[in-house]
Amino acid sequence: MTLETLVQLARSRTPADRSRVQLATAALAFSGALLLGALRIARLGKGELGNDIYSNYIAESGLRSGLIAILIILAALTGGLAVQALRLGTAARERRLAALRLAGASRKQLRQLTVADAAIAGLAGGLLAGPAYLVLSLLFGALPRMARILPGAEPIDALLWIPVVVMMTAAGVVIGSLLHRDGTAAPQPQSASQRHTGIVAGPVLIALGLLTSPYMGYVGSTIALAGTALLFLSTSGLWIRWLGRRLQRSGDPANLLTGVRLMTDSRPSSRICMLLGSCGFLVGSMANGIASVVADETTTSATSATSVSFYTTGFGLTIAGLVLIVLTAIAALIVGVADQLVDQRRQLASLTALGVDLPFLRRVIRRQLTVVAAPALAAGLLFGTVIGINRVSGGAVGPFDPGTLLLAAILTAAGWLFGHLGAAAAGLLLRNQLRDALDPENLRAA
Amino acid sequence: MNAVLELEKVEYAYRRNTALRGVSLQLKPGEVVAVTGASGCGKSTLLHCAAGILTPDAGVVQVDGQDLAELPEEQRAALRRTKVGVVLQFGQLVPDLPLVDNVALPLLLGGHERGEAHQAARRWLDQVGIAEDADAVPAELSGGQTQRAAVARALITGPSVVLADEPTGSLDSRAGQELLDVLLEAARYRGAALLMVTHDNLVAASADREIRLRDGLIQHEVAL
Repeated sequence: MTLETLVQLARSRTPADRSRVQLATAALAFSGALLLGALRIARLGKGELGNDIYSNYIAESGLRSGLIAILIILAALTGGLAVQALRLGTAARERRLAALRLAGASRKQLRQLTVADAAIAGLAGGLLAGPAYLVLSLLFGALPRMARILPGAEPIDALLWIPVVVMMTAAGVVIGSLLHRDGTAAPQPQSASQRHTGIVAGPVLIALGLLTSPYMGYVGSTIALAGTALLFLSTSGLWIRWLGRRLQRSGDPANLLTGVRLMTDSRPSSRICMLLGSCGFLVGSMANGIASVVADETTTSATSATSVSFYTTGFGLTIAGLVLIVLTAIAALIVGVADQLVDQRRQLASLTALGVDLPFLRRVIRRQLTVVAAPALAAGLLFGTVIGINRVSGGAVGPFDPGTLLLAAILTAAGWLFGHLGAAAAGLLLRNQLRDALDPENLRAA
Repeated sequence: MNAVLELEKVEYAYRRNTALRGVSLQLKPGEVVAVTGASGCGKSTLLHCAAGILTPDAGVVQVDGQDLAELPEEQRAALRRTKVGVVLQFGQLVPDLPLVDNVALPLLLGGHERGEAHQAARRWLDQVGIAEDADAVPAELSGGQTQRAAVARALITGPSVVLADEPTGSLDSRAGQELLDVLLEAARYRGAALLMVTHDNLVAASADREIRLRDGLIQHEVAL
């Protein structure tokens, strides 16, 4: 197979596939921009810098290395989103690969195609990382001094861009290779034993962490956080399938169809559910941290205005990053639903004959997105606020403190509302795909 | 004349269900053989084993004298691409590729230049009567047109063996007959052996020989 054929066959052509690659490219571009930021800060060298220009996070050498580490972690998290995005539409891609295999493609060639698909997204992401960093540094430059954590780019930084393009392309190659494991692009489902282990071990770790954190400090809190992540990871698939089965038993046709859609392929919904739950958890933790700092500032005079702005900037920027991840995750969910619409267009078109119209299908899609996003976000925020950062930082405010509970209630409601608003916006964004899916012409499509 | 396709005591089972219980058959160049039988008797499994899509649990499959089991995966794929053409009932075309690319695929995957592969594909599309649809994607065409494209793709590399699984199954009788004519003419013109799995007695009647399968075994074999 020539390189031209490889690129030609790897390039996505269906609208749903293009959206998938665009989302992955955007995630990798953002990831690359964060890496460029880390490299840019590293280029400032060692030693203290003037904190009249730079944020304290950059000016103080100890914090600078911490900021670099945070930017790298955020870049890795955003890269994880690219993996999620590239995993979407598995059924349609498996059919495409099967058709190529029938035409005489070897397993090696199929692997090359999967890898090239992800590598092209990586290369495009790397090339877009430079402009993305410029935009981000301009945006951060307009913020108050403490929040200016991304220094403006200089001409010499263009040299840093080259390794980032190479790294992003390499990341694409790695993602493509991982996705093609076992000869298919399908992700490996979690085994029952792994799931059961997580369901038992998660709560045990949370309880252990909460009980020991007053004595063991950070170690106990970290155990609780690890337990929460494990619990989300193990239960999201079960939750989605339980929800799907329950909706399938409903007398309401919209609920019934929503249940069928969730059960047809629960994996993308489960992954996004887990991701949103985890993001919600971290946002809740950070919000709790801000509340604790503000509470400290109002009750004691020891905390200076600078340190309050220092802490709130740290927490606020982290929340901004997490909200961005939540938005990208919801976008991934939307692409997933659009993909499912393309995949099931024959079945949906046949529903037209039964009297299903566009508003009804929009209601179904909105419900599908709502039941995945809203509870995950709300639950994540609730747990995050109650057992989050206040425990990590030594537990000045207990989990059942009235203020904490009030904050948890507000954030839970906000998460629920955000989930509903996201679903409504998605319904609007997907209106063309919905109209196409219901087109009776699809009954002819193979 | 040496057989171009030879199956010897081929066995295959899907977990609990045994689909083939030691089937043997030979096809000579230019010969047309129809495999018939009730649903679930192992017809499609036989064809998939012959194409190298499935690996038999026991027995030997030889294409042009080469034992498929003895070839490494890469060479087996290359052999399938060059010596074997496959036509299924539906779903074998890549949905997002125009017909010209779909037909050119075996050549493109074999390392041919795009221009050269497209030229050959357009010639074959012309031969099966759908040259004007070269730039359309499968969803824009009728079942008969996509099946013609599948025939063109199966024949583009000049295979020794063409395997067709219910090639007219998704078509009405007129479109089915037209496709069958194209397939038979093209196969006979190229001197390729044609193995067709079919439920249709009229399709079976156009073959030189009919093999009837029952419960994974050859029930009888008739020269027509």
